[in-house]
Amino acid sequence: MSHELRTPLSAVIGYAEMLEEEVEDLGQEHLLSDLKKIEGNARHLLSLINDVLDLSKIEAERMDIFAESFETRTVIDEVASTVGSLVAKKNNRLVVDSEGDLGAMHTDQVKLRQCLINLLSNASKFTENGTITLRARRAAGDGRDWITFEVSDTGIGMTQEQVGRLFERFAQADSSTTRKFGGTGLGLAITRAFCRLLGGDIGVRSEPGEGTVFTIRLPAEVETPPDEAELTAPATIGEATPHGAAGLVLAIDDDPHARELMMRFLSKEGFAVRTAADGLSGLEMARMLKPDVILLDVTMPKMDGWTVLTELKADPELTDIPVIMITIIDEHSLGFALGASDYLLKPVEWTKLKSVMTRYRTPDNSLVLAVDDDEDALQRTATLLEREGLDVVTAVNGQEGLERVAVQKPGLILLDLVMPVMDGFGFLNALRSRPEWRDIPVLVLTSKDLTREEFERLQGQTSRILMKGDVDLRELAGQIRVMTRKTASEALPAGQESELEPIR
Amino acid sequence: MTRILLVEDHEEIWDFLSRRLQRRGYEVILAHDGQDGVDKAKVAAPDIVLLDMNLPILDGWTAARTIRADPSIPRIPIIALTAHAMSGDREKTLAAGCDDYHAKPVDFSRLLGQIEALLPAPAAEAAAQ
Repeated sequence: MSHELRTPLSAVIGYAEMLEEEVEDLGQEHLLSDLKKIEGNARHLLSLINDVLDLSKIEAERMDIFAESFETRTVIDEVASTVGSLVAKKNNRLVVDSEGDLGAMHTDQVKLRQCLINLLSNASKFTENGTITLRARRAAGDGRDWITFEVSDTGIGMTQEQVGRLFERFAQADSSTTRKFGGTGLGLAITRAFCRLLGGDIGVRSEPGEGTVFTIRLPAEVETPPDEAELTAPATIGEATPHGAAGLVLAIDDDPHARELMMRFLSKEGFAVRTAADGLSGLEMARMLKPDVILLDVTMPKMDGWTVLTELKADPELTDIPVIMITIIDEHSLGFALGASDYLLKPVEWTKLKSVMTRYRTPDNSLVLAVDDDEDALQRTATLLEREGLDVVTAVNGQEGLERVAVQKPGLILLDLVMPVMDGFGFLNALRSRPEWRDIPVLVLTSKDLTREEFERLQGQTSRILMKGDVDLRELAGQIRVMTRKTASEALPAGQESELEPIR
Repeated sequence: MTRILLVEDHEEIWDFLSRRLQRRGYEVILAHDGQDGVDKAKVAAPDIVLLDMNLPILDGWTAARTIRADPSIPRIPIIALTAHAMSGDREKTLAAGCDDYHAKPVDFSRLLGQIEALLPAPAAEAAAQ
């Protein structure tokens, strides 16, 4: 997607730089300034494209957080070395000052780095012969640790009015500023969006002639909102819940730890798991997802489990979905009277849950249907899948795909979107309109740059959306094998059980 | 002379990159897809590999893993060229057996630094001359 925009620009920049070297060697220096303009503008366009793509992702809520653990100090040092030459350009000095032990952070390192680089490069743009200071400290507040980064400069500063418009898009303090100082005018808008995404915020204080101080405050450990992330985050390999072949489970529980544990346990058992944090959203998700099984807690905000159960059983579309109550309230008879299929008491005995879940398990099916109009790609995919011991049937368009499904129902479908005769969207609509085909997991593998609307449409109908080129096909084949295979192990290894124990 | 195997499918990119590397005194061998890259790593005895990740036939990650798994290929440094900086890219490329990674667009002087850092000292000196 964005790759398509960046590659040609990479070539423009590369050739311009090469020609710059060549004209220098040839003694044609008078051509140099023009070539530098080509290169400079191409670089500017590239940063604009990067920023616009970032912002549109943020707006479409498709920006993911990739949290990892790292030493805070390391990021500061790396950022300082990255901006070194930029700071020196206008004869500025960079001072890095950290108070005490900063310790480790668990957050999206790339986004943090980008925020700091944005602020430091801003500071260097608006400061001459001055000092730019990056300060960092760690402090506790609201029951957690926060890291505060402060970027201050001794530059031209801003008026109150300029500060007020600072985080708007393309709203550098003055419209002539862009020409004079460069930049895309999007950096601060992105920085603020990133800070908020990571659970923090950014602030600024400035006076004309007195320099500017930007302050970023982020939680040392980013909290990924579990429900939202599970609902809206585009799935990527290794992170998302695989659409388990054993079936789709919806777990409704207000306790995040309980959700997390059920998610882990059931995923290991080969189920796909979605979660909801209260009764109302649970009910909405049940209507949207039509899961194979629902796990339901009783004491929850907004709508309690009894009400959810009653509503589920009153809805003709949902009444057949088995509901397993998982609660600390011992009201078996009420549960069964309202239509629950099973009743488990918290703390959950995982062996018990496992044996209950086997009753609702969808049988094993290792047939994979791959649909793609690029026959070479199709052949490669088929070979890789067959190597994983899977049976593969192929189709070159959606129409042919449907014919294949009619002959034998596959355990999983790997689907391209852009195809002649019938495209992937048409295929999905036709597939999902047949109740008996609705449960087939579909992986979309596409190079199409999806609009938000297309993305949302696909989300309701597919297990994962993968970008061609971003995906290691061999890895994917391995994961497909896992997804189509019924979990073979009859009992969990002892170690895993004890790991899952502490649910209360 | 230091021999660089450049595995890159995009014609303009490999064209200017190889020419710029040659200007700096490196010998450049080209491969245009992952399988071609693996084959040439085997027969052309490069000192270092610059490996694009989005390649046809075999993608870069698979190519790196294949090179690492092949006992007939000596342990040569591999620098991954990724489409753009993405979280997790670094880990992914390192996990595939690459020694370093460089996000496109190519920052040529930084790339040269990365190449020389990975070459055994005498080779780096020879190339610099």
